[in-house]
Formats: sequence, structure tokens, C-alpha cells
Amino acid sequence: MITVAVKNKRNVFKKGKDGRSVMGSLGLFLFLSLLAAVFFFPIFFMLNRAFMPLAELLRFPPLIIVRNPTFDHFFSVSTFFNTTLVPFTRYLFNTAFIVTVGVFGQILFASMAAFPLAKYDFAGDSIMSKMIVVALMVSPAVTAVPAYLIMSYLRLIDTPFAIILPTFGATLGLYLMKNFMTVVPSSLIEAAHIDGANEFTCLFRVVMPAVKPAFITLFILSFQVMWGATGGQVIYTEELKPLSAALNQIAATASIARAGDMMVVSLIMFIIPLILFIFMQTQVLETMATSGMKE
Amino acid sequence: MAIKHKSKGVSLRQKQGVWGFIFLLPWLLGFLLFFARPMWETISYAFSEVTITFYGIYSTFVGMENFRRALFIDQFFNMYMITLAFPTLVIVVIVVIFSLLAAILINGKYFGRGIVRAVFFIPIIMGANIAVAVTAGGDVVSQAAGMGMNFGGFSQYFLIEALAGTGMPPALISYVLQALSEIFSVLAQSGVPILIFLAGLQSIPTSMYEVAKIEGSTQYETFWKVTLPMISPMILLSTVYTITDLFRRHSMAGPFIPRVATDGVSPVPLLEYIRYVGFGTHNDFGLASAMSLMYIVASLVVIVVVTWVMSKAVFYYD
Repeated sequence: MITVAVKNKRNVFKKGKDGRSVMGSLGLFLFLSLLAAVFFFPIFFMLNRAFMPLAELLRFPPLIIVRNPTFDHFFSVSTFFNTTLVPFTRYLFNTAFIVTVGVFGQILFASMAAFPLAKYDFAGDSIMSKMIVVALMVSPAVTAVPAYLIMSYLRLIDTPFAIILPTFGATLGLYLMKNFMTVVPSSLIEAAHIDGANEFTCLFRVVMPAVKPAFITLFILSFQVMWGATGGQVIYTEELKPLSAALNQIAATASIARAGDMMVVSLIMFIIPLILFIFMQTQVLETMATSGMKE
Repeated sequence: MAIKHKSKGVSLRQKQGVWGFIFLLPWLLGFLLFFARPMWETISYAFSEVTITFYGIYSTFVGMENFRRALFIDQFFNMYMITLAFPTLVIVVIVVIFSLLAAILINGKYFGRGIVRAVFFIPIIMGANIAVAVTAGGDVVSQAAGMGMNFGGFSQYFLIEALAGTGMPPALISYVLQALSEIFSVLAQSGVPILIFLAGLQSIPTSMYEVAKIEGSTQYETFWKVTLPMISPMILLSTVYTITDLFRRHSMAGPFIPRVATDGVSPVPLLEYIRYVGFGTHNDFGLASAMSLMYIVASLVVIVVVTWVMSKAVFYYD
């Protein structure tokens, strides 16, 4: 695959062809390095503070770099899970269930709904598309109370589905998928139809591979939502709560004396998605572009 | 879809309608149940005097009373609505340009891009984390993992120390600090737009770049003549997303988010204020519904205008 990187870093060291002066290149390089430093700072900060002993955490001219690294806070968090009523593995299972069902369901339903809206022409499709943009504007807080009443009526409260099901009707994923599917050439879909593909084959074998970057993007976003959801207002039974809720209990009750535990919890919540996404990003980046078309 | 399927007795439009409906159904069910119906209730609350009791929620129709109170009696609502649009648009422009730049950097192929990718991938997770806090009803962990909450103060402290050490005048220091906190809020906002641009950059056919190369175009020309037109639908998409995100945000800190004081001590963004009206000591759910309704309509007007202006310049390759 030949990807021509425009304005990439290699240009910084190569003058001439794109007519950029050496000083200009140096300036760009410095600017990008500064930007990278700003990007990296929060992680560096979090990592260091997770290993700081309490005395260093609470120093007034605050420290950025740890002097006497310690695992105390990690032990303290693991002790917390040893003493809880519900074992750690149960929380982990709950999270795994919510993440798996939630993420795949959302991708499936969002792309199924996006396909006809992007590529078909039927009564009401433009109204539907406008409604989606309207729905995007609405903060979940606005509809929180009536939505709770409906979930309560459906007896979803205090089940993992109270977290999962509302995301199936979420508009962000649909909006994202729809916009990317609009870019897929209609002639590809026509060709599939002529070759006898039915609508499902058409969607899952032709359109979905073409919008792979989009659904991986949706995967990342949806994973974040599911991973971070504590279900605070909808799940009461301790056995059904996800890991983030358990970690939240540590973080929310963190007084000054538990500031280190708080940092460890932040680190856990942050590092697992980071590892996953560094792995996933090759999927976003190394995919085939809209190929398969020969004009 | 110009080709007709033979011998079904139904037109292509009908056939597509049927399939479209089948494909839409699962999502539509979720949408109607968990969004449309609650939204309808909220709208009806906006026109009602709502009393919440132990036995349920009772509402009596009062017409435009809630809207009148929000606009003419409440002391904060007007001020916020007036100061809303402009700062939002400024940050949207910055976020979109910045995310496009970051996406191009991540997407490029060059020596050491592994490190660049890893570093520039951070805001995606940071930004999404803050989005989580908004969608999942504000959880402490992701907010703490997100930006601004726990290290914003520290970084400012260090900067003040460092800058004061150089003998810089205080007025200039506050200006630099302002710029820095803007960098962080831009960073936090740009996660999703970066992902959108990345996916968009990936969907540009490589043959186009090959043609541009063969025709002898410089990289500068290639960017303006190939990349930018091809990515223009994504620019519209991420602009709309960034605007909606900014309007929806109720717990984010940031210099561009205007704030009002509820108890005279702690300033909060408007949506937080609306929550305070609805669930706080006033417990006036009708008034809060009316406010959020006006807020949604205002943000919708901004979206429609921006989309209309931008769609003139968007290029669809098909």
C-alpha cells in the first residue's frame, strides 16, 4: 500500500522538493515536539504519581517525577478487593459481559441502520437523517428521568441490560457509520446485487469491509463508553456491578490519605484501553482503502 | 442504484423501503424506547408544573409559564444563552484544524512513526474518557483519568513558577497560562475528531495519490487538491460532532465554557446549572425541562447554519 503522507515528519529533514526552508522545517519539528510533550504529559504524570509514596504525593511544591518509587498503593487496592463482599472476578465478568454484548450489539445495529439510510432511497429516510442530528444534540441528562421510568417499566433496572440496551438506540454510532457508508461507491453495491447477493451479504461482505476504519473507530468509542460505565443509577445489586463501579468506590471515597489509591485506580482505568487501542490502531491504519473499483 | 431487479412486481423504491425498514428496525426500537419517548416526556414537562412525590410524578399543564420564567425571571439563563455561540465556534475551528493535523501525523509513513502514533493516540483515549463521563452520567474514575481534573492545577503551578523565574511580567504570564489551558481543552475535545479524520484518510483511494505523483504534483499541492477535497465530508462530520459535544458537555472544565454561579461560590456550566434547577434544592423539573429545550433548539440553530454553510464546500466522490 502506498500511502503518501502529506506533511509528515520525514519532510522535516528533507528540504527542496516541497520548497520548505531548513529553518521552517526546524520550526515545525520543534512545534511538533512541543505538542508531543504536551500530549505525553498526562500519562507521565499519572504513571509517576501512582508510584509515589504518600509523603511525596502530598508535598507542596508538587513533585512530577517520583523519587522513591513504591508499590504500596497497588497492594492497597488489591487488599481492598480481598476484603470486598463480591470477588474481583465477578466484577471482571460483569464488565466483560457488558463490554462484549454492548459493543458488538451497537456496531451491528448501528451499521444495519446506517446502510439503508446512506445508500437506499425510501419514504422517510431524509426525515430520519435529520432526526439523528437532532438526537445527537441532546444531553443524556435531559431525558434521564423519563428514560429511567421506561427502563423501570420494562423491568430492566438492576440488570446489566439497563446499561447495554440504551446504547443500541444511540445516535452517534449510527451517524458515524452513515457518513462513512455514503462515501462507499454505489456501483460496488450494484455489482454485488447483480452477482446475486442479498441485502445481508451486501452489507456484511461488501459495505462493512469497505468501511472497516469506521467500525473500528466505533468499536473504540463504544468500548470506552462500556468500559467506563458504572451503572451508578441503574444497578443496585453489588454482584451485578461492573469493575468500574468497584474502582469508582475507591476513587469516590478517596480522601487525602488514599490519594495514591486514586492514582492507581485512574491508571488501571486508563492503561487497559490504551493497550487495547495501541493494538487496535493498526486495524484502523493498515486497512484497505476504498479499493475494488476500476473506473 | 439505477439497475432494476426483474420480476418481483415491486418497484426498486418499494423493495429498498422494505429492506431499509428491516435493517432500521432494531436501532429504531432502541431509539424510540430510550430516546424518543423520554424526549417527548421532557417536552411535555416543559409545558407543565411538575411535582415529584413518593408515589410518582404529577404534572399540570401551565402553557408557556416555564419558558417565561426561564427567560424573564431566572437570573443566569439569559446571560449564558447570549454568550454561548461565539466561544463555541472559536474552539470548534481550533479543534477541527488541530485534529486534522494530528490525524495526518498519525496516518503518515516515516521513520519513528511508531512513537509519534503512540503519543498522538493519547488524546483519543483522553477525549473518549471525558465523553464517557458525559454519556454514562459522570463517573469519577474516567474524569480523574481525563484531563484537567488532577493535573491541570499542577501544570499551572509549575508554569507560574517557571515563568515568574524568568522575570516575565504577570500580565503576560496569565496570558500564557490561558493559552496553555486552551491547549488542554482542545486536546480533550479532539479525540473523536482525530478518529473520524483517521478513518477518512484511510478511505481515500491510493490510486489518487499515485495519479497525483505521476502528474508531478508536490506534496503541498497533493494536500490541497486531493486530501482536502476527499476529506471534506469528514470535516463537516467532525465539525458537527465537536459542536454537539461542546453543547452537550455539562461537566467539562475549560476556559471557553462560560460558567454561572449557583450558590455564589462555585461556577458551573449551564447544563450543570439546569441539573441544579431540576434536581437541586429548587427541584423544579418543569423549569429545567423548558431550559434544556431552549438550549437544544439554540444549539440546533447553530448546527443547521454551520452545516448549511459548510455543505456548499463539501465534495462527495461518487
